[in-house]
Amino acid sequence: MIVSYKWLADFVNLENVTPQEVADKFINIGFEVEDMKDLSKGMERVKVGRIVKLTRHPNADKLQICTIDLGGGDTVQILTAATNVFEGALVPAALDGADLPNGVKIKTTNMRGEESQGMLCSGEELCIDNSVYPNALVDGIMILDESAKPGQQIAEFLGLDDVVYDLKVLANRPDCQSVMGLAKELSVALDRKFIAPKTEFKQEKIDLPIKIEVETENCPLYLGCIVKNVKLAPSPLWIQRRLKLSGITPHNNIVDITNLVLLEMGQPLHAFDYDKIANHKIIVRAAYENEELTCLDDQDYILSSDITVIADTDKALGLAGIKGGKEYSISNDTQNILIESAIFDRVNIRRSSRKLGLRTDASARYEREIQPISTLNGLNRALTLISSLNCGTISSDIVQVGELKDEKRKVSLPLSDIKRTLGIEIPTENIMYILNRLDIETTLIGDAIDCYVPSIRADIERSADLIEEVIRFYGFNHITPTHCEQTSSIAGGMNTMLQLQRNCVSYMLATGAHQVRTYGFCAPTTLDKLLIQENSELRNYVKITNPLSFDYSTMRTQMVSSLLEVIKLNENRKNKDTQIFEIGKIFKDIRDNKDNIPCEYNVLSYMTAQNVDFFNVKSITEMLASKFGINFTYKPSKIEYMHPNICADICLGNKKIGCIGKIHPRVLKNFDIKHDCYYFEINLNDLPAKKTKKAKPLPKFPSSHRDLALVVDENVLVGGMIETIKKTVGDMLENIELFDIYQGEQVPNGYKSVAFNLTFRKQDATLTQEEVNEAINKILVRLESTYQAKIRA
Amino acid sequence: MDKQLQEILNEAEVKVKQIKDKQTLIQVSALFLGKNGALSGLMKNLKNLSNEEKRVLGEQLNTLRDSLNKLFKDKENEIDDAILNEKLSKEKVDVTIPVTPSPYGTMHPIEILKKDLIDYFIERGFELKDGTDIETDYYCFEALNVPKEHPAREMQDTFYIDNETVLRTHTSAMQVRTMESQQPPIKMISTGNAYRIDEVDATHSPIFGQLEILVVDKNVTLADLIGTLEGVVKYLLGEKTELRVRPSYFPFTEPSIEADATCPKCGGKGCALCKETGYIELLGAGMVHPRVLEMSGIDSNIYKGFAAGIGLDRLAMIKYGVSDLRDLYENDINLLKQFK
Repeated sequence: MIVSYKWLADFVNLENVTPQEVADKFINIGFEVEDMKDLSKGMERVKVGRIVKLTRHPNADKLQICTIDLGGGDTVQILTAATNVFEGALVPAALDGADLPNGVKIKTTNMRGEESQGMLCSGEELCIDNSVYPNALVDGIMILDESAKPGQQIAEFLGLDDVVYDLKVLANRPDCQSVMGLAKELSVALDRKFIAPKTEFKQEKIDLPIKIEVETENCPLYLGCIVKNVKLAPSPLWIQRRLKLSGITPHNNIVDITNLVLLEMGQPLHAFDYDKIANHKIIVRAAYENEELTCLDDQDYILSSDITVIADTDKALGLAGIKGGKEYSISNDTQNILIESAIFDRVNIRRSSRKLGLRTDASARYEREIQPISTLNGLNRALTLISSLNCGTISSDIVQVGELKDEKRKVSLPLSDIKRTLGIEIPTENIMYILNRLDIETTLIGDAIDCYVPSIRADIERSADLIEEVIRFYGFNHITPTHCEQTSSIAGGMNTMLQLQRNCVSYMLATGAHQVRTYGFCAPTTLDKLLIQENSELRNYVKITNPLSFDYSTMRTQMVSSLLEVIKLNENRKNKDTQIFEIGKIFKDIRDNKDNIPCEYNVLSYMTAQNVDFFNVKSITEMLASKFGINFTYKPSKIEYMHPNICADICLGNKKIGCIGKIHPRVLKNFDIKHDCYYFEINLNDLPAKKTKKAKPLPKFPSSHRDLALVVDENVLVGGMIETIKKTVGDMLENIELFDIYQGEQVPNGYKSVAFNLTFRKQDATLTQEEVNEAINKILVRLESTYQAKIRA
Repeated sequence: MDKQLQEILNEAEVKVKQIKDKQTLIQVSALFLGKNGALSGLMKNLKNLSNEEKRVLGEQLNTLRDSLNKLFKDKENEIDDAILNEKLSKEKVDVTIPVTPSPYGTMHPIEILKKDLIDYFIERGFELKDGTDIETDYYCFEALNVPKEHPAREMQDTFYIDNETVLRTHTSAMQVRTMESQQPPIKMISTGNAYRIDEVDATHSPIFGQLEILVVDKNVTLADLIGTLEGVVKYLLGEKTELRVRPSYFPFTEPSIEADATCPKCGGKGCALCKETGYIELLGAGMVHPRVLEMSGIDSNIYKGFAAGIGLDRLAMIKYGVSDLRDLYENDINLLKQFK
């Protein structure tokens, strides 16, 4: 909301209050100052001057010497090269020390023997255009009209001696979407009187009939008033300037008055050309399907029945609460007008405005709700201005459809609630004083204050709302901070998922990997780049209905693409040995929960573009398993984006909880990556919580060790052999370690030698040689029958 | 000692002095202490002596044996030392040769901040709760006193999955979930991503990290909220940081406040970072709206609560001197490496 210092000063006395103090007050009571602009900045040393004498410079053909009268007997001599100056002209004179809006600094100088004590200014040099002052942009010096007084500050003459604020008005304060509403707040903050504008206009009996019918529930109140014999003319400069502050183009006195009231009081008004209203009957109704209307913005709109229009008996005249129609608006030959001041349903306006893609100053205010009393106040203010500016004759008959409710709302404020909410005591008289200043009537009854809230403050419904009003004006600086000393303790602490994530981070950092943070958005085509099949579960993605862009239109079902993008960026920047990890979320459109929301999984993902092999990466996942106190198994697998033969599912028991492998070269090409990449991911939601361990007693009996070297077909999986050995021996096998795999001269072609180190132990007795031999024999028999394994000679 | 015995000891000392290696030491030691050595010869003679003589000579022989043992043991140690010293003298390393270290990885700055905040609150007895990024419209808005068509919905441009499902616009969605699942006392924090329709630029991102704080109990006040915020702000930005509290509006808190911190760069004098205001906007907070308590099944006549939401991305930018938010999501290793 744009307001200016001088405009606010119409409603509250700002004597001895600086513009900065006004800004600070607004911040303190909850209106953020998003921008503050001193319109006169750079014009402090620019005054109106009259050229009393003009002579040629004796030593320079192009220069003229001007003697400038600055009023009060002061004169200065200023040289100019401009040719449009003349004796008697009123001009802006920048004096020694001026620091002009365009950045030019003015100093007294000597030009070829003649002193120049300043500079005469063009409009351009003052950074103003024709909208601020007619003919501001003429070639040469800006010539001022005779209303300017020598010695007067140029900013004052141009109406630029003002400071403009852009205040952020939050959604709960529709009453402050107006200069008056904000001035009211300021008056309470400054503890000064609020000066309400006068309502004073002459009314006459007028013989122009009007009938208003409301056929929709979206218009609870409609006020209309006829003004006869309007005298259209440009509105006075002060109105035009105030409209321009808010970016509204002035049209004529009537339209400008309706717009001014909108800004000043927050009440949208509309003026219709009375003589064009068919049968002099206004009908507020739902639009017909596909009804067409050309609005004031020269756009044609095609309407539907959920949009409300103001119509006559023939057709629609305007969009209710949003914008007027072109045909029925005021034109140069308008004689009589109907002024509308109404309320339209905020939800209906919001939806219509969205649907039409048309948001206006009026619709913005209706969307936040307007109170009935403001409808009457707004109309009265417009009629006062019409009357005082002699724009026409006002009818004594104000037509009203709907109820004009203006009841005070009773809200009780228990005094104890203030201390309980704020943590401080505030004297009752201060509380009552603040509330009264806000036009809230108070009666102290026992330990509670009965408050009667004016209808305009629809946001105040319960005691908490009143407490906010009190502390807003009493000041947060009165609150002494405390630290929850009065609250009870709870167990507190991290949850399992965070514990798990922290364990992951600390280990991943130890591997030298850098943690990254990527967006969870994904383009659906990314899955094609990853070669994902049409029927893959990775295609069961969550779609965003209103995404920022195609690239951000779904939630990712995998993290590999996010990390590939990071690798690519670093490769493009010639960063070597990129090794990264992320703990992030993936999303799948599986809705098997009570809230019916898509599933989310916390995933640890890792990628490296270093010169490493599969086993380097597997050692990381193994170390993680060890850190979590669990065992992973690895099953050869086919995943579209991985190398067909260097890829495994990571399993916990029989459950797949992740994958590991080398990224498929074709995928690397699709992502424009040159270096080989290895990747793994582990779904953290599937990991068991780490339990508190109880100590096991140390073994009492000695262990026995044996080495076993076997020759098998080169395609036999070592993991399978280990599983077989474990199953064959059972509990007696304490540990099995692979210590060698060999292929070469001493082994037949197509075969490999695999050597294990086995540790046997019994918990309740010392093992005998015979028992160990028996176990080894069983193993050999089983391995031979399963894998045709032969003991290596 | 008997003269004969003294001579044996003297002889042994002379011989030991000349020994250079362990092998010789063992041989010489056998001459004196071995089965057929000088000492055992004398011991054998004992049996021919009277009891009194046995006692006297026996004692002397024991003394001799101890002296011999010590003599040989000392020599053995001397030889071992010599061997070790010889070995050590050959083992040399040029400690000045540079190595290629395998350095530690680094945490992402936003994650560091998140970790620091979690640690701070966990130490103060809070519990951490996890929420989902995709939330129902009910928990994200309606249960927080933002019914459909409420003007406040305009404040947060929301990504919709469908009519009833959204990408949460704030971690406040966890407030109601927590209050529905347990009665006070509640001291909860929750962190995670929130989403709003914002084009990516130097200070905006459609995804950003947030920390939610919620305390509900019988005696919780706005003064407690301000004290808590003051503490966390000093913890994050330094002891000298001051908190400025302004009134604000959120549908789910009443009174609502916004808290600014004095600019950590200029200390409040005004600079480019704080756009000459001396303050940086930090967070929104307030006393939980009684209606929100009631909708979550908590008696608003007995209990009060405060809640706050802190945006992590902007704070990370300020704390770590990152001027463009996009840098934090681009993940250039050369930037990440700096946060050791």
